[in-house]
Formats: sequence, structure tokens, C-alpha cells
Amino acid sequence: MPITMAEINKPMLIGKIKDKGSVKTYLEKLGFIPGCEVTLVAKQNGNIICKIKESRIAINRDMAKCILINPKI
Amino acid sequence: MKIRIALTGNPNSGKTTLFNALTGSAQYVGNWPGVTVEKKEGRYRAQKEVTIVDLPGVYSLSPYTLEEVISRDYILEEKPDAIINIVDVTNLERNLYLTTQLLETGIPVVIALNMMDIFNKSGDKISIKALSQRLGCPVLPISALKNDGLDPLMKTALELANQKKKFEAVHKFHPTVETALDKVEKILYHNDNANKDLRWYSIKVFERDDKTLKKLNLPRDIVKDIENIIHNAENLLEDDSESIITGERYELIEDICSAVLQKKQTGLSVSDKIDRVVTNKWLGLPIFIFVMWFMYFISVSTIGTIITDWVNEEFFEVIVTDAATSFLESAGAAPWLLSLLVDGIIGGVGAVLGFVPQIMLLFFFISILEDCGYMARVAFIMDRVFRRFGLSGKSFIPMLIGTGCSVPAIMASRTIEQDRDRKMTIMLTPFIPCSAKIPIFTLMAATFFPRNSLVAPSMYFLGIAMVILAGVLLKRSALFKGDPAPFVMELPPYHLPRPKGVLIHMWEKGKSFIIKAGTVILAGVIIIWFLQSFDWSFQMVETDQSILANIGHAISPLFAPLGFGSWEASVSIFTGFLAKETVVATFGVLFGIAEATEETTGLYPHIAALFTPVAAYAFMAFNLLAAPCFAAIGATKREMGTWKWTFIAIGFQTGLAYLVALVIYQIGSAIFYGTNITGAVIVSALIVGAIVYLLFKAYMENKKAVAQN
Repeated sequence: MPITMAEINKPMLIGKIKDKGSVKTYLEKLGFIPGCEVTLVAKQNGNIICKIKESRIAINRDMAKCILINPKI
Repeated sequence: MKIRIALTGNPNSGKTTLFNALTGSAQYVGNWPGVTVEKKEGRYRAQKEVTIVDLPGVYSLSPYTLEEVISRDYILEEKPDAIINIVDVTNLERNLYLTTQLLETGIPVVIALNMMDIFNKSGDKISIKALSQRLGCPVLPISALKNDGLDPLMKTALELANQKKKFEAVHKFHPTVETALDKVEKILYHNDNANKDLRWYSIKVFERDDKTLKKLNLPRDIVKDIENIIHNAENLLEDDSESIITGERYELIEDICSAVLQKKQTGLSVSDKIDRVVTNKWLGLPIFIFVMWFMYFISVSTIGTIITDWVNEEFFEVIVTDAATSFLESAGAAPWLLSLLVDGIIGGVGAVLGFVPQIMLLFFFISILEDCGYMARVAFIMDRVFRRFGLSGKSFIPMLIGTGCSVPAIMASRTIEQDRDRKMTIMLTPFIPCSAKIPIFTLMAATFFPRNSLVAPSMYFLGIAMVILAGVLLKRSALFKGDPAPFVMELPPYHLPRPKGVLIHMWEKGKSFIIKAGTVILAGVIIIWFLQSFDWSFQMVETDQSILANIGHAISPLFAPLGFGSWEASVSIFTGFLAKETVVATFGVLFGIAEATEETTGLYPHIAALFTPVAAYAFMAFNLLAAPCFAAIGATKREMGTWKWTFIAIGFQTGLAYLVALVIYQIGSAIFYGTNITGAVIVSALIVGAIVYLLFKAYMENKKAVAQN
């Protein structure tokens, strides 16, 4: 499911970045790599702030929907 | 021997703080990513023959943003003797990504492990020795802010630079990737460009990096061979080559981090808790509006006014003017000299300097907001609003800088990746009132709306509203059609504002305001004084027969429909192009009193006679929106690149300013003073109707687009 649907403050794992050209590369470089832990910090009409590694990244809705996540096992 | 050392690192990792500490300069530092957009050079304090280059913050060396291109080109083309890689130890994993790339360039790297003080407080542990071993380069702990560990860092960097040895990276990737890279290396070995930094080029070619491929200009059959190798690896690892390398790097880093880092488990940080509130869906925007109002209320309406009044009434009006007058009279100076010094220079420049306390206070608050990390959140909050109208929240960062001065703001638009969004931001940024426009607003607000604390900050909101409105209008034109670029931005952690940092910021910004008063504005008032004292045959005359009055009368009909058709007001608009403070300074010179600031009783009746309150508001709005000062027009030209775009920008700004002022004056007069409905009023009403329609349509279309998504 897309990260926009995640529960706030619950760590999840990144599954896949749906391709959106150069933005995919950009996200990957920020640490959005499959299997990485990510936590949703705040949500605002689909715009999100999430925690990845030790940083907080703000992402707008269209972009956030490309980040697919899986529950942590 | 000349030595060059480059500072690189992630955005907001403290490069500029370190640069300032090493070179003793005072470059701008801010708590959000992307403050440094251009490389800056300085000399090392202890050894002047050593040049230190501060590069823009980047997450990687791939050419995705302009900053990345600048940093990458410098490192690869100009080959500094050594690189100091600043790594924020509190966010080690992400920061090491760039490090792994830097290590491959062949240039000696020293890692400066920054923010050690914060890290130590958190209770986490790191083995610096192990980290240095794993990366194969020296690692030194520092705190750039507290000046800790800088000497050993520079000593190591200089040693490495003097050795002039080529650096070999020690880290390796997955065997499948390494096999592929080996094969690419063997092919590239015969290329003269690539065989100098074989490891770097083979990785870049493997990633299909456009710029590298273009530079190497490989023959077609070789490209085909390499493409086969890449394809093979991609099939084996089931991803595209660039993502493979990115993944490999993070794999490697994770491995390193788990070996060298000992982390305490932490829950929700304070930053997260604050973010919950300030970026809240419902509270975010009202909090922002309140913060802005409060800032203006303190610095412009209440405390600022008290201090400014004292400076004006006690200092300039009484002390300086009296002293200068009596001195000149006793020295037997000619009346024209007395007039030049007292009316012209003290009147004009003093009018501007009187605002220094207010400006300083305003900068004080803005500096606090910047330093603590709130400004980056504002971009996020505004993205939601802006996107509704087809703009990106990223455009808001240059606009925030624009509260100080439009020139650095226009330059800051470089952080916007998309050309279309960037051009539009350059055009719209000057709508945000810069510090130079504040004297105009406070003068007008205090003369006509003395009891209303909302009039001055309302210019802020009018500016933002116009950015949105103009954004919608521009998006309709063929020049700017298209979706705004996605918004991805790192939010820095909150920290308490540091008094030293805030005061330095405040002083740096305030200083340029004062310097401007002593240079551009001084020259301006001398010219204005001359023009208003002489007629065309260079005889000293009364003001209303002067050259200036002549010019003013010639252009004033243009502004009559806006409510400020007096020649004085018309002239001040033109002198405003020199620098916006000159608008107030012009009134100061024109009315021949030594002081022209808002509380001066001498100026009150003069200004009050020129405008009605509605016309005064229209005048404020016109000055807010019309073409900026020469310096900002110059910056627009530099960033736009062509005169054509520069003229489009200026024309658009001035045209919009004219329309807005027209609408405010005509409709405002009809409502408040019951003036007759004339053609101008009807035209204005039609403009408003058209704008509302366009806004509504854009809003609905974006809503539909969002719903469809």
C-alpha cells in the first residue's frame, strides 16, 4: 500500500518506488530503498512527513503515493 | 604552493558554519537545506595560501539538481587537492552515501564528523577508528559551531593535500556488480579520459550517467559492449543499473553503521511532537498567520515604533539637525549648501536610517524563525495551499528569503529543479515585501491608519495572495503550462535559537540596509535634492518650479486613476527603482524638513494632503508589486539569462501592480466615499470578476485533477 495510508508513528518497510523518472532516483538517494524502515510522522491531505534514517522528509501527495510500503514482520 | 580544499556534505550539515570558522568570514547560514547555492571561496585563517571552497550541499554526486551539478563539476573538473567531507554524525547513514561517492573520485578525502556535541548528549556511541578503517580515510570529530577540533582537521587535510597522492577507494560492492564493473573497467582502460579515474568512470558508465557518457564520447561499438554488460547485471539483480548502485551503497553503509554505531532506542523526538502541531491540517496555516502578525505587531507596530520615534524625534530631528544647522550657519556656509546638507542629505538619508530599529527587530524575529527550523515547515504548509493553484511549496523558500531582500531570494530560486517553476518563482518573489519596502508601509500605515495593527502586515498577505493569483494567471499562459514539480524536502530538526547566531544574522542583514543608506540612497537623495532645487536653466527655485516638479507633472496623469496623481507621489515611485527606501527619502527631501518618518508631525499634513486613505493603500500596493529596484532587476536578468525574460518579468510585475492599485482605489473609493460610478470603476469591477472566475476555475480544475488521481 502507498505510504499515505500508513498508520502514524508505526515503523514500516519500503517495498518499492513506483517509477516517476528522475524523482525515483532522487528519493533513492535520500535513502528510500526497498527494505528500509520508514515511519510516517505527520499527514496533511495526503502530503506527508516521514522519518527515514535519521531525517524527516516532507513529500507531497502525488510523490508520496509512489512510495509503496509493507508491514514490518 | 597554492592549495585548494573543498568542503562538501549533505545540505544543512554545517558546511557554511565550518567555512566561516575556518576563513573568518560571515557567510549566510540557515537552518534549512539549500542555503548555499553557489560555491564560495575563502582563505584559511592560519595559512593564507590555502584556499577553502564551500560547495552547495548535496545528497549525491548525480546531476539531479543545480547544486549537485555545481558541486560535481567543481570536484571533477577543477580537482581540488583535498576534500573535507562534512558528515552529520546524528544522521550517519544518509550522510555516508555522498561519502562513498567522494571516495571514488580519486581525490584525498578527510571526513569531518560534525555535530559531535549533540551526538554525545544523545547517549549514542560511535567508534571513529573503526569508521576510518572501513572507509579507508581519516575521520576527525569536530563541532563546527563550537569551534572544536578544527585545527587537527585542517592539519590532516593539508598533509593529505601536500602528498598529492591519488586516493584508492577500499569499499567494494556485491560480487555480481563488481564483476560487471571490472568488465567495464577493462573496456574503459583504453579511453584516455576515463583511465585516469577508472573506478569512478566505470561506475558512472555503469549507471548510464548522461553527462559522463557525453564527456567520454565513446565509439558506438564500445557503447554496445558496455550496454551488454549492464543488461546482464540488471537481469541478474532485477533492477535498473542506477538503482542497483544506489542500493549497493546503502547496503554497504548499513553494514558499516551497524559495526561502528551503538544506538539507543528512541521514541518520538521533540521535533516530531512539534511537527504534529505546527504542520497540523487545521492548525498549520492559522499558526503561520499568527506568527507573521505577531512578528509585525512587535517589530513594526509597538516596540519598533517606540524606538523609531525616539531615533527620529530626538536624534535626527533635534540633535543632528540642530547641530548641523548651527554649525553651518556659524561657519557662514552658503544657503544652497545648508539646503543640500540639511534638507537633502540629513532629510533623505535620515528618513531611511530612522527605520533601522524596526528593520533590526523584524530581522531579529525572522532570524529566530530561520534558526529554529520553522521556516522549512512553512514551505511544507504552504505547499498544500500553493499546489491547489498549480505552484510548488518549494517556491516559498525563495519568498521567505525575500522578506529580507529580493536579490538573494531571486538567487535562491536555483534550488527549484524545474525550469518553468523557477522562472515563475523569479517573477513572483519580489511580491513579498522586502525590508526596503517596509518604511513605505509603516509611513503610510502610521499616517492614515494609526490605530490599525493589521494594515502593515496585510501587505504580507496581499503579497502572498498576489503570488497565488499571478501563479494562476501565468499557468494559463502557454509559457508556464504544466504541473508543478513534486515536493520533496528535508526538514531540519528543531533546535533552540542560538543567541549568537541570531544576532549575527540580524546584524548581517541590518548592516546591508545601513550601507545602502550610505551609498545608493545618499547618491539618490543628492540627485533628488538637485532636481528639486533647480529649474532647467539651473537657477535655484522653489520646489514647485523645479526640474523634478516638471518631470512629476509630466508623468502624474499616468497615476491619477490609481489615486496618487500628485507630482510628488509620481516622482517617488520612479525614484523607488533606485532602491525602495528612496520612496520615503524622496518625501523627506521634497517636503524640505529634516525628517520624514511616520511620527514626524511636520510630514503628516504633507503626506495626508497627497492621498486619501484608500489612495494611500493603493500606493502601498503599487510599491509592493511594481518592478523591484535596480539590484533586483539585475538579479532577475542574471537568473533568467535573457533580456527577453527580464522584460517579461518587469512588465508583468508593473502591469499587475497597476491593475491592483487601480482596483483598490476605484472600488475602495466607490465603497468608502461613495464616489460616482465611472468607467474606471466598472473596468475595475470587471477585472475583479475575471480574477475571481479564473481563481475559482483553477481551483476546481486542480481539485478535479486531485480527485482523479
